[in-house]
Amino acid sequence: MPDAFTIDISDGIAVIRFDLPGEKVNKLTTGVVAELEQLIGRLESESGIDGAVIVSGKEDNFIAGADISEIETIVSPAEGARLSEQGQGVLERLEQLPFPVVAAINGACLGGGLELALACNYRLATDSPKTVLGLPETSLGIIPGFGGTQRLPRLVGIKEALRMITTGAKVYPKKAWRIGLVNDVAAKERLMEAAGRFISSHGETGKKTKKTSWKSRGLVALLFESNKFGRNFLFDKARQAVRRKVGDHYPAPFAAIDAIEDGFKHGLKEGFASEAHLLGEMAVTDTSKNLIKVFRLRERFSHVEKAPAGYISSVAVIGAGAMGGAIAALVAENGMKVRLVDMSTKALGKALRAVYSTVEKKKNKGIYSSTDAAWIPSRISCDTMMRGLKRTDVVIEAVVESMDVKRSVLADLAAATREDTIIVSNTSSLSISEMAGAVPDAWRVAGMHFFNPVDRMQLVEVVRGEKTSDLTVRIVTALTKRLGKMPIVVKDSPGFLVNRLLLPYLNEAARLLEDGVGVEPVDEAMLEFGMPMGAFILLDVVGLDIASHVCENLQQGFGERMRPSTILAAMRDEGRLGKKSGKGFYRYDKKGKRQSDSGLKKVLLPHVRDNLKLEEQSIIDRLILPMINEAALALEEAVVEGPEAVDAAMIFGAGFPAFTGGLLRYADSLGIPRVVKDLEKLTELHGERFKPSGLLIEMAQNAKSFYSL
Amino acid sequence: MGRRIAIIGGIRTPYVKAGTLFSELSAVDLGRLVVSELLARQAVDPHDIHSVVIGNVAQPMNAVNVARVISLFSGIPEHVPAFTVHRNCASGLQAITSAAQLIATGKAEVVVAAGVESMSNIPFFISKELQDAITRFRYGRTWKAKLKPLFGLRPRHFVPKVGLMLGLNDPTCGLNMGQTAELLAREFKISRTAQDEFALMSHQKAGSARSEGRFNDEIMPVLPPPRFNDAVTFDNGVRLNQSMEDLSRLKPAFDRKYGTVTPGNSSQITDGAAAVLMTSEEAALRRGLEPIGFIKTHAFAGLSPKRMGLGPAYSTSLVLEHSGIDFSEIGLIEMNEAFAAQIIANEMIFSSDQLSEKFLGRKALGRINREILNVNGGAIAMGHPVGSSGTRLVLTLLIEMQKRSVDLGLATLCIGGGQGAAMILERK
Repeated sequence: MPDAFTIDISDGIAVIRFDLPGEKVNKLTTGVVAELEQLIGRLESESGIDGAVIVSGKEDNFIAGADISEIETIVSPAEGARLSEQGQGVLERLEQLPFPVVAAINGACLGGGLELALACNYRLATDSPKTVLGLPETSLGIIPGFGGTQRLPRLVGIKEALRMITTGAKVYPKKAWRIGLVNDVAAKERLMEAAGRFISSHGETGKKTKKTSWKSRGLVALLFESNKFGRNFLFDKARQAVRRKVGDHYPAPFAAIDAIEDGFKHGLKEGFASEAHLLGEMAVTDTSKNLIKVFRLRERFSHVEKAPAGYISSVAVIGAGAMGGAIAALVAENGMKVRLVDMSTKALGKALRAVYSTVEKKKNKGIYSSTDAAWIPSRISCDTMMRGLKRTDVVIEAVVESMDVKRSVLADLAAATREDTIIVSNTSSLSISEMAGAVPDAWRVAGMHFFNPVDRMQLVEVVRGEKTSDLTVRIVTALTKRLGKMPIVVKDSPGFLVNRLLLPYLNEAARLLEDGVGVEPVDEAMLEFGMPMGAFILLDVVGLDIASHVCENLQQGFGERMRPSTILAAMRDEGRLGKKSGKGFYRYDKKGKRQSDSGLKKVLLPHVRDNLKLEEQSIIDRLILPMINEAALALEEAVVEGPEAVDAAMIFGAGFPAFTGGLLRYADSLGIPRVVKDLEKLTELHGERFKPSGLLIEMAQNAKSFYSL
Repeated sequence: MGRRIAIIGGIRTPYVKAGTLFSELSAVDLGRLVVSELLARQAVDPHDIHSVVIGNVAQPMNAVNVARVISLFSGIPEHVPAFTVHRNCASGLQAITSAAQLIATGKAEVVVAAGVESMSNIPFFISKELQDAITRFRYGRTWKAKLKPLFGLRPRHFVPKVGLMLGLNDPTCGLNMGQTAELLAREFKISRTAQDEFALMSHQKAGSARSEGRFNDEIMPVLPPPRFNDAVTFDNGVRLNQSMEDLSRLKPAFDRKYGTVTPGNSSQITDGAAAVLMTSEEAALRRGLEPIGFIKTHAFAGLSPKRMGLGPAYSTSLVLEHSGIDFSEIGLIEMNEAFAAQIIANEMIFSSDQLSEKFLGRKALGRINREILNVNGGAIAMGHPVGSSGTRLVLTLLIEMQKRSVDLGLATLCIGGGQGAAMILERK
């Protein structure tokens, strides 16, 4: 027994304190669940108890959920189902206790933690910003297994429960109260008093309770949720929404919907059984195992050393274009002062307008309070000259992507800032070391490669130049983290990591067109593989001008194997720049809606040299295998630390499908010998650019994989 | 006073006619913009600031102690105290003198002093009768008690009172500011033409200061909401092609039949903010800060509220007496142009033994040389955001003293309610 619970009974009220020894957060491990069962047994036989309150002994955490490593080790569906049934049983006994039980929630109450709270008579939440409630299981490829799929829809309504469970969305106290998930919200110091009131008034007649009251949920809820037809409609809708959002690659949200539906079709008992059964099924899928690994990747790369005390209180951004403006907004939203400099007041104005409208939107959505909305823009000051930068800790330049311009901006910055101000260049393709030559003390220059759109993409490549100091890297990674992004440190080499892997992939897609394969089949194959969008759609989004520019850079750096397809330049020269110019590989109407374009044929025709008919898998291999090969080369050159960095970067920076566990996990799952063999075959058919790297060949010979290096 | 007070530098927003470009910027916004910019350009660590003092006349109800609100939104840490000062039209100068006292007495070393005013955002008020009816409706215990006062309301009770107009009225003498200027025009026999000529000169001086870039070190660019489209970089009240003809066409505003004071020869209703960074001479040396000038001394004087416009004569007399400086030593003067009539009346007192004896009980201070008076124009051209003007006068004066290598300068204002303020500044 882990000794996680202490119980203290006074004046008829039992206070159950959950404090898992040796852990920062409370988790529902098998041991904890067994101990809880014993404790419930004791309470069942105890007399003179009027009520119980469950509290956490942790500072900012109620219960973080089940123990992920236990889920990871489940090997058979039966084993998973058994774990689920065990938890369901204990929580059912909790629910059946002869006196009211209150969950007094402060801090995160997630997964199994919320399921435990759902089995209590009342839930009270503190108004702390750390207090969040949710069932995030589907984002780990499983479903709630301790009765959550059954109790949640009966408490907050089917529609809201479907949303919470299928998206894993977290709910904050105010909203939790509005939807009836918690009975009341109180200050932390008043939580026990509130719990006492709910216990003492328990059972009184005429007491207002939000639970199951149609009145509070509205007429629409009554219309849809009180009858079979309405419910079927909701379930169908939910399935469509999931399919639209994540496609068919993630089975867990569908399984969760099934479990909820079974509960309404066949009754609660069947519902619980279905939940346990489906949890078992889901827990053994590769998807779940991989999503758990990705979860760990995120944890690992989100943990960074803090900047030295006093550092990063103020930041400056040079260049108020789309990227510079977005970075400045990000800085202000994350609580730091930012000075935005651009020669053009038009650009500055546009950037400010964007900040105000984003803040306004988030305020209307309830993400920001009106106080936040007042603070965020107040942190931004603007200037048309490099003035007032002497107090700045970090300057990020985001001017046009040209070595000459960037060098001259950096030289000016060196003079306009303190000698210990960190100077960062936001670049996707230029060499940081070369740029740093323009600054007398190159140790303070680093790169930060943000991905578009800045507010949505989590990754930032932190580029270490030849002379960049460790302190500089530490400050830039800490800043990245403070901006809510995931930093991955990369060596200063052409394309850094993500573009070095992504652009050849896009280039190879263009070469498939040269071989006579069509645009749509390639895009369909990549969607089938799990990419968030087709290769040509992505090219249109990136822009053909930028793509061919980066490809040319890469060719300069790596030679023949990166030679751009002639199609890229041809498209660019035709003015088919992609989404921004209204047409690229597709045509876009004024609203940005995509259609196929009959005019494309004419542009492509001079470049088509063959008439290949490829199977879906062959298309996937031809695009993904070189990416694996390039990643192996990058690892050989120590561009990043190891395979984890590659996988994290590709998932969080390039949208590589998470259910695969990442590019190199995917390679391992194929088997390195197969990868090498297929690359050799492709080399024979299409040329040297597919030639497997030394590392891959060595791994194949020694029966190694990326994750067993 | 103990330590000698140094002014390290300052900045101001453009002065913008009320109801135009800055109408979406509150006093808090204006103050935050100017204080943030001051801190950035002066490269002071906000943690090194010991106090913030801000002058403001129409103090916003949604940001009481507006100085504290501005201070925090400007990124000055929570442990730095801030207070708001109010001496009507001299509030912006009061901020500097209050800051100077903190520094002189050793209570603070580095202080931000500012003056802010958003005249666009002065609210309208409802009548007392309507306010009572609403209050009784909210707190009445029975429906009868709630509704009864509502039935007593008449249409006139629904007419809002314009806050700006209330503010410009002096309850002790029953005159509004324009009427006090009319009184001076009558008593000193100042013609409409003389007033209009002075107004024209103000516009011309401000116009050439702008075209010669003499405000470049003084004015920060502001991108105003809601569109943020174009940066405002100059005072938009200045009329570059102003003529006597145009001025003479305007109707008197305060004595519609026989008056001489018009919107053209009065200061404008304006939004704006100015801020300076202050410390002691010794601390400036120690911290490696280069002052643009020093405060020699200052004085406030009281006089008849009806003739509040004469404040500069009263306070200048006092400040010269205190400092033992002769008026002839003053090389540059900034006298706030509330009304052309009021400036001319002061000029007459300064140069006339007889008038000086009558009003000040002394011999004349000496003729004011218009060549050194308001060399970059004044409030008639660029406007008078009441709580801000005092700070601007000191800033403009110090920058111009630097440029012209003038050693002694005078900044002086008249103050609604019957006061005058005067400050002598030194370059070295």
